[in-house]
Amino acid sequence: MKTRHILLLLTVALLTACRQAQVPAVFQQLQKEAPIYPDYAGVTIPVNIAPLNFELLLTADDAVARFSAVGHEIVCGGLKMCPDIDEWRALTAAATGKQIKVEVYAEKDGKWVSFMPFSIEVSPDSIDTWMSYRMISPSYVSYEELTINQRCLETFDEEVIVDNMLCTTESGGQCVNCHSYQQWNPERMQFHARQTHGGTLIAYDGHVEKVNMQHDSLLSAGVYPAWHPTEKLIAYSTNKTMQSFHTTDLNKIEVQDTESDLILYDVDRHEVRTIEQQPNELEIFPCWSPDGRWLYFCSAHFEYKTDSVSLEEMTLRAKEVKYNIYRKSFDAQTRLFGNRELVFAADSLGMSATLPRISPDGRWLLFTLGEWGCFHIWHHDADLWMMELSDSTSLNHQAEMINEKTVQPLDEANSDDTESYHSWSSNGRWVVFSSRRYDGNFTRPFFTHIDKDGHASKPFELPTADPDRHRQLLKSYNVPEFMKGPVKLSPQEVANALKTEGKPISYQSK
Amino acid sequence: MRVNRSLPYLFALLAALLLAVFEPDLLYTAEEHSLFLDTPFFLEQQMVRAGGLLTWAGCYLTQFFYYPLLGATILGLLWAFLVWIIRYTFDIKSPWLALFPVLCLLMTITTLGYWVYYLKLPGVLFDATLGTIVAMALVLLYRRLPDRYFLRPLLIALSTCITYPLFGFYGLWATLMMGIVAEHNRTKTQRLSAVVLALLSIIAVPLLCYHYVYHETNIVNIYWTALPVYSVQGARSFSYYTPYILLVVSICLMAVFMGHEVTKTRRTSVVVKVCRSVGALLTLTAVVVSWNRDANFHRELAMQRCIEKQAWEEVLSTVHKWKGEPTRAVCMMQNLALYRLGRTGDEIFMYPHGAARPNAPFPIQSVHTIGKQLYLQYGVVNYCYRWCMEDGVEYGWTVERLKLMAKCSLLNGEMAVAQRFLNLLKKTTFHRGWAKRYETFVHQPQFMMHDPELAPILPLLRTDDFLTSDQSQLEMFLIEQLISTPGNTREQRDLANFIMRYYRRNQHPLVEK
Repeated sequence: MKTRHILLLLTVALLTACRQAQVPAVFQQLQKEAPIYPDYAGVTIPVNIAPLNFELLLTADDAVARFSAVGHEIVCGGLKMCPDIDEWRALTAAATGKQIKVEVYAEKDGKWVSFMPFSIEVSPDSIDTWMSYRMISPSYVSYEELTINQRCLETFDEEVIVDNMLCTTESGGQCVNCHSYQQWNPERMQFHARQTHGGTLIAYDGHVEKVNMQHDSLLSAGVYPAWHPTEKLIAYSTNKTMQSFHTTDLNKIEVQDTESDLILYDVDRHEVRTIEQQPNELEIFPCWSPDGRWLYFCSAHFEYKTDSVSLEEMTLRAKEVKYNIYRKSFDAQTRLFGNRELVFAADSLGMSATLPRISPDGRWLLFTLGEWGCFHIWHHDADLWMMELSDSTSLNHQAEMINEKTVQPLDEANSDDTESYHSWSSNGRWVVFSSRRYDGNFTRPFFTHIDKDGHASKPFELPTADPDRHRQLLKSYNVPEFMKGPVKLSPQEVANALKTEGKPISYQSK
Repeated sequence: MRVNRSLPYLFALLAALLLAVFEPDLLYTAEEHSLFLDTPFFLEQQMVRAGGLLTWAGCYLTQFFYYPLLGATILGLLWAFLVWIIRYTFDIKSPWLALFPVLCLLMTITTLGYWVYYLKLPGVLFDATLGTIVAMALVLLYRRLPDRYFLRPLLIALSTCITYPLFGFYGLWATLMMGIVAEHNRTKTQRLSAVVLALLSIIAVPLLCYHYVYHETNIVNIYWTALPVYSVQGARSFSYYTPYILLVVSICLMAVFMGHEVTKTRRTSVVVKVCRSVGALLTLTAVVVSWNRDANFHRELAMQRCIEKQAWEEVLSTVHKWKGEPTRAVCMMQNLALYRLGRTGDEIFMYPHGAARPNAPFPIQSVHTIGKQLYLQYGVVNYCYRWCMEDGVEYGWTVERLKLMAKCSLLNGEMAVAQRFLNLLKKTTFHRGWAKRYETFVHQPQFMMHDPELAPILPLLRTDDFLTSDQSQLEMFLIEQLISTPGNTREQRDLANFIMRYYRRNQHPLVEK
């Protein structure tokens, strides 16, 4: 008898716990939007994205959200709305090319209210299934735990590819940075490690190799990378970098180059040659065109008034450093580059352009534009701009181009705060970019849809299993890059490779 | 007789209460330099390395040092329990012997000194106590298990697999002790197999975890997770491990000699008594001698606490509570108090000045200790924020850093990021009230003008901006800031002039190494 009672109680408790959330029958309709985080109202999403979990930012006893589209419906309860992943997939599949309607209800002291419903546009354009990024505190000089992670965009699965702590001892730390892939291929990857066990790790179709790119003829080892789309070549900038800190400006940190050049690394031959080494020019951020015939890059003209390179002068004249976008033709047969051609003269607008990235169809050039310098992640004014490339791209009439709308800010994606690093998806329909729109200090990845005319949609933040995660996380997402699949290397395999001696390079003058 | 039996437990409690009496500022600082958030994400962040549950629990208990007496009482009760479990596990006749590990644990705290700012292990004040209790409990379970159905070997293997991820080093230590007490198994084969299994488990489980579970720990450190690392800038201070070594060795010896009865003759009885008395005397002497009583360290802790309370007169009275040449940190804090009270010009000569080297086995840079608070109080908000971020990244997030960053963000008008830090503090037990109070300024920043702490800082905020760096030289940078402030006040000039004159006169290097 006693056992039966206990079983009955357990069953009732279980049923209560599993109670299906229900939309209230009686409620007061409010004429205001639901205060939710992340802001998913009116965004466009790919059909294969993970559920857009969100939380209600108000004091309520209970809440319910209904996601509905063409005969499908998901009802979630609680202050955190986390649709079941299978139900979400069925819903987005049904709503492809249409909208999902989201109604949010909240209960306080027994009374229900309903907020204005919002919609989510489901694009039939799918997104690459994986993305990688570096998790880093928005720090200044110090670093401790740094990881390069990969995340499945269709689910919430997150894995670590590289963890610097595996190579860190109390006598020496390690910085890892600048992960990059050839054509979104996770089998062809590179990243750098600095300090303890420093070097560049290159993984290519199962072969993992550490390269020591330090050479007397180079300013530094390779820094910002760009894989050639078809050849086993990587263009790098080499930089003499310095850091300084604003006493009152909210931009807080500035990273500047006192000198920088461009080099080309041949993965098979372990050979480096100079691409650009012009006097009084600071070259940075190489990027190949999708056909591999052009190398785009940024360059700022800067003449030191003192006789030699001076850190102090560079700091004092920091705001004079304005980067333009250039390109050079490249012949893959001869491995020779042509002369530099100006693509976008940001300085003529009193601005500085960084991080050029060409869409996979070769039509659009996406870049970041800020007032000065190259470290735009800490510039609150930095925005994404898009330029339509054409055969007549030998252009320096920026004002005309802006009037003709061949160059324009990506207003739909930009915010009042920082937008910086960006990367195209392999189908060219999605861009992932770094944004500090929520608080100006911590970077989160956002995705925007780019239609065939180059128009962006309202971006959405990377969804997380716990929607509060990004509000608690004191780290930034750095260098978000799409991938067609996951990297198969384990962090331990990467660490073992890093602990080996780096293969030395040979240097060929230009 | 009954009173006599319970005395060791009272002593254990008393040992912890001694901390509340003699080291309240240290306990409070330990709490301020720790963080426990009541969220699954915080637990998840701790569990990324072996020993995660232990550090999570350590952080949970450390928050009670917000009231030093409360925290010390909890610690004392745990120590009393430890005495009991050690006695019970090893069938120790004299409970006084079980006090020795407790005194070792006490020493891990009393010897800390400036490490309180630099240790990276979360919940360090409780970790060793909790880890030892867990290890003892496992050994006790092992002993109480029936010696059949391979239950004991099974426990050795299983417990290592479970407790290493949860408790790190302490899980391995428990396995080692199970191997030792296996000596009391019935057959030689059983004894040998238990020892071999224990050793294999100790070697293999961390390696397996390294390869298949964790990615946060270098392979050279996998056997020591959940132990503090006494190292700054690559130089290890091995002497600070002494209490840990004594703790481990003493308990292992108890395991080794468990059940070994000394044949009672009158002579041996006397020898044992003498040995015990000498041992007790030596232990107590070690505790007293090793106790960090550095005047400047304690002065700095007390002054920081006063600054946090905005008790400026108390800051000044604290200076005189200890004798000896002060460190620059002490001088900087007393100068700040005089500056805030508007008495720099009149009274700065009446206070001790000096540049004593902080009593620590590594170079102390004030940006890592009092620097952040001083930057904030002098209105150099971006540099306060910077060092909070630097230290947060390197030494971990703490209540102190989050509070300072929230204040900096409020003063900078960065309300969204201020709200982020306040949201985190609202998830703590003892600081949510503070966070809610400061949240008012997010929505109504004009109220900052009436806040006793923020109001005096507001006029110090500058509008001109420079790209520069302090090179970790706090005082030099502060002087630069004071001198270069457009339209600086007499108070600011007096302070800067005095410090410059002090350095010229005493030929002290104005550079912190």
